[in-house]
Amino acid sequence: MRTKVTKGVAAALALTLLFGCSNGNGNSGGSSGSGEAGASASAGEEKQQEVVKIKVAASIAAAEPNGVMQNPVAKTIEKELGIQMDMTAVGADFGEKLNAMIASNDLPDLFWVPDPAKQIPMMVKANQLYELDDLLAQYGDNITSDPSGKAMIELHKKTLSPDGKLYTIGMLRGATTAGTQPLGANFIRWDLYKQLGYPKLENFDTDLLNVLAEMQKLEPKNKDGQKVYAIGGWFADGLGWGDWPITYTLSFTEGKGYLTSDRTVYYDLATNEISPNNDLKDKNGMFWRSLKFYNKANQMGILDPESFTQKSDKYEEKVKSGRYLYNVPGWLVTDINSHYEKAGMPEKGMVALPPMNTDAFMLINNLASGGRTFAISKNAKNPEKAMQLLNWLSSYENARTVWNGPEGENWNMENGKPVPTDDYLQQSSSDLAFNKRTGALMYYHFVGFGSGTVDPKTGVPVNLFEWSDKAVSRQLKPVHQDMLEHYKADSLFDLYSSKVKVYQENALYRLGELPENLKTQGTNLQNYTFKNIFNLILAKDDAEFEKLQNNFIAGLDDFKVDDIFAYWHYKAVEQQQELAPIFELLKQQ
Amino acid sequence: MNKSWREYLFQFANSGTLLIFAFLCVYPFYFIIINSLSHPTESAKGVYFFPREITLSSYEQLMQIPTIFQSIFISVARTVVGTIVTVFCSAFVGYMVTKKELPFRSFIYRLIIITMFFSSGLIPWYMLMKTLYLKNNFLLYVLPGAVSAFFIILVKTYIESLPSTLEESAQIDGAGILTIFFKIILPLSLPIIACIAVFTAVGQWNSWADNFYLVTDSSLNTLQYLLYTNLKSNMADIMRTSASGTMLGADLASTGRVTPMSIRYAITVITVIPVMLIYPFMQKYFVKGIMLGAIKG
Amino acid sequence: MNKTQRAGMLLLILPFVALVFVFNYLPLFGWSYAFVDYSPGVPLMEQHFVGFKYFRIIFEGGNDFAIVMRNTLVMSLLGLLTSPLPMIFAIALAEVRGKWLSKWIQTVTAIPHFISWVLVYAIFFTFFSLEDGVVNKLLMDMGLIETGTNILGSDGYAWFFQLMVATWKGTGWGAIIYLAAIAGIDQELYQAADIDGAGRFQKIWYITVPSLMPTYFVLLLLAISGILSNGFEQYYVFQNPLNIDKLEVLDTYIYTLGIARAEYAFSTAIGVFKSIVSIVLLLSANWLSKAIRKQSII
Repeated sequence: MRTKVTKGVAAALALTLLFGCSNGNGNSGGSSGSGEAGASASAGEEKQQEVVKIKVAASIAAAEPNGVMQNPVAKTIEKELGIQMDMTAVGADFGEKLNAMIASNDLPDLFWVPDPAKQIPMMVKANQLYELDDLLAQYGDNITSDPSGKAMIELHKKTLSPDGKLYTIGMLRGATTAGTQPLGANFIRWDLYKQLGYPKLENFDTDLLNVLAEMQKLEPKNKDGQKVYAIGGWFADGLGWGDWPITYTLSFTEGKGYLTSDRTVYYDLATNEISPNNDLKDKNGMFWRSLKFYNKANQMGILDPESFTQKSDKYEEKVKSGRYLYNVPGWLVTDINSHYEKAGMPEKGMVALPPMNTDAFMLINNLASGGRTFAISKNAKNPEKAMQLLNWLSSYENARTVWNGPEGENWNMENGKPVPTDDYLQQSSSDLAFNKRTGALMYYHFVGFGSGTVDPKTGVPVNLFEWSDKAVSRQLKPVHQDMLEHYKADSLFDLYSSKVKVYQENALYRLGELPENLKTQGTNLQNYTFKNIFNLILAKDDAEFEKLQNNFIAGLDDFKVDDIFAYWHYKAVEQQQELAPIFELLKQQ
Repeated sequence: MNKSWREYLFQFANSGTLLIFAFLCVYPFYFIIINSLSHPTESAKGVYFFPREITLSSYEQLMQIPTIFQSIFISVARTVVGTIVTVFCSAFVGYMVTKKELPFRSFIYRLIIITMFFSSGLIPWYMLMKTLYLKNNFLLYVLPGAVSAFFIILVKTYIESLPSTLEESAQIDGAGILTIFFKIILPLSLPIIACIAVFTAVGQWNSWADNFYLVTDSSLNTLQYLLYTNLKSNMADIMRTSASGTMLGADLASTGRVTPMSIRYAITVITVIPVMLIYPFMQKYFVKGIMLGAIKG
Repeated sequence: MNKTQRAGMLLLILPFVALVFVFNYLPLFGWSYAFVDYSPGVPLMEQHFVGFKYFRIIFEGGNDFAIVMRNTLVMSLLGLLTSPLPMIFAIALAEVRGKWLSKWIQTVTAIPHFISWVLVYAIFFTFFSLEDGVVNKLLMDMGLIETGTNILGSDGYAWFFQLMVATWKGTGWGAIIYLAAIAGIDQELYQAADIDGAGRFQKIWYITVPSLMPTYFVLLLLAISGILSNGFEQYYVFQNPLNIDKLEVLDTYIYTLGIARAEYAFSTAIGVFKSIVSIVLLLSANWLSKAIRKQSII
């Protein structure tokens, strides 16, 4: 017995030492790139073939393991810039890990900052970041010569920097879609609407509900005999997501965007004015109109009662099997429509309704500040190389390469316009082997321009997979054709943009946090609102709704809501004036 | 006879109740298995008895994750090494604190036990590990958990229930502490050792957080970590980290597509089945009937 | 035993104590961060001291906080009341005649422990859902109910349902400790009892149960000191607008606050608070045990 145990312990110790030694020396600590290349890089400006390793932390496709990347796009970067990207893939949970890294000064060379409002001031105070003004002037010509780049720089200096100097670069600038489909809107089963003979549909408060009720009568069960409801939700997903479709997207369809997550202040896209009223108290405002919409839906029996207990994955499953006739998230619609195709019902499908009686519609979102914020830490031995990398990623040609892979593989230039191959369009975007082989869609969270941004030289958006003419026409289903005919529009973009004055939203406002004396109330206010939204939706009739509504509004004063509103409003107006030149820069093209 | 009739009834009632509970436990797992093998659209309609449109695509997709085989090796390695180390350390310390002759015995025991009731937080832990050069080092999987307060309590409680005459007679025969530990105590403590081994092994096999925070070297990733990161995050978390009131939040959410259920099911199957296979080997130690009398001689 | 031998024992155990100290006590310096407006990279002495500011935040929820505490304590109490279940289960299992049967039951009942809570919710949803849930369909087919019950959204049954779920998930796994303890009971005791003519239940009551008591009390003590922690994941997945008043517990409440505030000092303060409460409860329960049973647990 003793010998057995001793042998076991000895074996364990041996194994541990083996692993400990070999891995311990390899990559201990988190500080910057490889020693050998570092020395040569300083002399390296002349010797451009010296390869420098930069430690990068960004969201990338899971096709390659962490480390120096080998796909064609990475190889192109290596060839042209002499930079090897030693990548660590990170996801939405990177925020906490970054906090730990900040605390122990363990930052990578170039990294994504998930929560810039909180984390940038922390890092600046701890003197962990490089100031980027000079680097930008020397190496960032792509960024500084482009209007989106200029706007981003100004915006960051004014809203993200604690002292007015530049510490961050926003990547994924520009539009996320090319205007053929909004990100969040009223999507309905157009084929059923056609069947009903195109009844009146000029507002969402009453018309849309009536139409949906009629549609539900037409198709009470889906192909597999499961019950169909017109509207569904994912209310069981907590604060911030479970209530998202209820109060935000209906506002988008009328061109109004909330500036704060407590829904007190919004601005009107059409007039560019900050609302003078507290939206939570304004019974005619968007908040209450949206709530009434869902409450009426519930009263009419067209809201799935399971909405209250299901999470978004269940909602996705249901909407993709045709159990809902109305949908809000645009990114699900492609899958929904291909489901109908695969099930042998190509005439069915969902489309986004055009703007109804409004001057503004959120069709294209211009992420002026950039969808992802990056910073360069002082651990980087070659900050100029990091800036060169960001700069390289910020030209339209290179962005196209990053989105689609190098020219010749997935796409070719034809008559001065980039055209994707048919093969490319057939691929699945989440096919890891495809990503690794061609380099397409590997770094699209790290590149300079968002999916739908148009390259001014060719007039074609950078993401050919989704927004090239070929791709868009593939996605045009019979329902789209019918809709275009019905509204007498030339194209989807025309349909959604021609009738409104403003369709592009520049996400500029960043109002920061409430002051200390209001912070707790602010948090409690959001919880209070969240809980009561659902009680309001469940009100059995209009009388009860009104009673609950009055109670809710009366209860708001417990949270100093007037002070909170006053503070946000003041901040918003102030920022509007500060950012006025940037607004000018980004005016709708 | 009277006695056997009652005996039969008891066995029937007892086993019956236990079986019902066992069924309630096993059916959900069976459900997960058949759904992981069914085509997602069939699964959405409801698969309860047999898989429909059998497909291995979920598993194939998981097997295609880069370095997945290396991670399986790491997971097995950390489970084996970690279990041996933890079991040994905890058993030994558990035994030592039963010896009244140990100086400061009470103090040491309390020092160790109290650690179960406080935690110092993520960032200090991270900083500590970094200072100890345990980042990107296999030892980080093994050392922190080596001396487990909970297991020490279990071992101590168990050993204290053994008759003290055993030790005393061995001591009279001139055996030293280590001899007694290895030759007498350990063999008799096999049930609790097996129990601790199971708990540790499962803990090691399932753990991913230490991997997440402290490892950037791909060759040290564990299976659980790879599977976890492959689960495109819960949308709720994505929305929270962004300004959900604007399209910025929606954009981030749209790129974090939620993993289909079929993949989640496949992940569960892959991580649970190995445990289910090993577990029966430990069960033989839970068999009633250690004849202490025999060892006394 | 002479002094040298005793010193030798101390030396033997010292490396292990060192390990415990390094990994558990050293990081405690982090508790100081709960009292300052934390800025990384700035030495502790220069941080901006704010006293108990972050501790007060949890209590400022007013009515919300009261509800949260009520829910937390109720669920913990229910857990304590059902804490003998794994022990009873282990004893019942040990009485099963067929060896293969008992082994199979043991292996299989541990499975729920391995299913992540997210998946548990997904499965429960499939079975208990209002429209498509099998449970509802079966009950309606059998004529026991008229329309589907929405147990997942039920406010009244929320606590009971969560207790059932937790029992399902934890009993099989929790029984392992007791099975190990039962396996270590001296068989001679049972043989002697047989000779005295003891029946099955007498043997259990007079031999098995007392042998398991030390283990039971240790686990009970741990449960008592963990009264404020119900397990974040379980409540997080089962929460929805319809039952939130009953299922919002301290752990999920803190999580919600934490999202909005995202301050490191806040989460540290929570950690400190819970740790102190745990230790106080631990010492109190131990003192109680000493007073009543004349035996301390630790």
